[in-house]
Amino acid sequence: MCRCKRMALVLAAVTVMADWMWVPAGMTAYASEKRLPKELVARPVQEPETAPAAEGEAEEAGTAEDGAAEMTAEDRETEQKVDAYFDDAVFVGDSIMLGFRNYAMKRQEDAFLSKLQFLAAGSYSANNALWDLSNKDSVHPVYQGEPRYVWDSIAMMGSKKVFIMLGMNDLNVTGLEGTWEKYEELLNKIKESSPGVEIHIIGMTYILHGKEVGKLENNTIREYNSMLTEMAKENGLGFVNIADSLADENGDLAAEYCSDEFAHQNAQAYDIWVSVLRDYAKGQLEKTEYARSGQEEAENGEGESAGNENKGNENKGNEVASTRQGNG
Amino acid sequence: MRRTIGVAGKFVWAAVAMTLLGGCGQGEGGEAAAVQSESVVQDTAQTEGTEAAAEQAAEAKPVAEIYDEIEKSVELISPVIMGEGFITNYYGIDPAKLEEYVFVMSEEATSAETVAILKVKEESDVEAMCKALQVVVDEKRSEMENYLPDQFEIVDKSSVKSKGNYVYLVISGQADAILQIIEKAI
Repeated sequence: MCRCKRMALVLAAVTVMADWMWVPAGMTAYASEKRLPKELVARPVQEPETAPAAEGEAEEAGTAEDGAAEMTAEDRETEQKVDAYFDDAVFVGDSIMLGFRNYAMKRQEDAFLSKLQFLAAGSYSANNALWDLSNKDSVHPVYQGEPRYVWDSIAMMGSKKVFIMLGMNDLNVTGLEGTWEKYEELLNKIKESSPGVEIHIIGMTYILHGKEVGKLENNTIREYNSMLTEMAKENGLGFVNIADSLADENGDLAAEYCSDEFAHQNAQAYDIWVSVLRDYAKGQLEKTEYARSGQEEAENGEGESAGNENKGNENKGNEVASTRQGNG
Repeated sequence: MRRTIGVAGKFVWAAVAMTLLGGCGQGEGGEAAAVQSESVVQDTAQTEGTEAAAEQAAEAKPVAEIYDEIEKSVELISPVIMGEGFITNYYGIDPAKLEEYVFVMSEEATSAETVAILKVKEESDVEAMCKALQVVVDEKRSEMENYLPDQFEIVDKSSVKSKGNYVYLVISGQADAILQIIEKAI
């Protein structure tokens, strides 16, 4: 083949290849430099079966629309204060609390639930909360990428309020007295690591009728909760009674709130949790307000009459708080 | 549409220019042009291979789509998609290091079911993400060991895996089917 023909052949081949080589402006020739869209899939998988606190509260007022229409500016302000009450709170507990955590995580669009922090683990107990971290059977809740003593995690979080619910994994191990001792020891460690922290004990919830195991039965749970109430009073702690709001007429966990034919709870139960906790917060805020107003009046120097009035207001505040305390 | 030439195109044109300049006036130059043409073809083939591999990587599905397929194919147990706050607070995973992710756990406290697919921006972060997901496995294992034996068995069979920039973990009674979907897609 002569040189010219060879050149023509090369030119023709190159022309064909070049046409394939051209790429549109704005793109490189290498597909690896194409960027896939980043998609943060942080969305609820499905709509919650019930909108939690909002629906519960709406039922009390009538329909959701009626509820919204009836809420005054003062009511809205109260609701916001109640939500804000839990801004610096952490919820500590076992698998029952873990269920509440997961319930909250599924409803992050909710102003109340989206703020809650949790330190919870299945099988967690007052006993094993005190075990060494190196204990291979320990279930210390994970925080910031590693299992930690709960009092350390609380301090790291900077939490000002601790809501703690333990006992289900203790009663069959150390009985009533033994569990109470471990619980006190745990609470002391939390107080040492986070001076000034408010501790609010959540009473243990009940078991489904007929599913009792050893000491894990409802009369013992009631006795246990009574002991916790006493401990709370003696130590200036709060006590939240959710158990009775979830109980049936016999004092067992109501079947409609049970998720597993044993003791764990479903979304409807955790709707009740939200209502009880919000009511509890309202009571705590009112108590604080009464105490503050009493102090202000005393400072204004209204003398003995102001002191008597303060005492009355404080008692009223304590009554509001104490209605939240159950008898276990 | 305005078009621009890629790097490969420029190379080809340079090779062509060399071929034409060398091919005129010398017999040996003609042979040299043929050799250079061959090398151009070889280089083109190599470029094609690189581009094919890159295109394959580019064809990997977005993580969101992978999860959608999992949801459609397998019945998960009350799945909850966890957000940035959750993966950061509890597992120390920095979302800024992720190009995309999905992190799903069961709402049921008595289920260990977990599906986590993380795509890191830098391959150097794969190891750290593997460690973070291993914490999830260890946590679930400890919780279930003396509590729910059937769940413990499911956790015990699971393991953190990685492929390229992907790090993933499946803890589920239907792990095989879910892993198949993931591995086909990445």
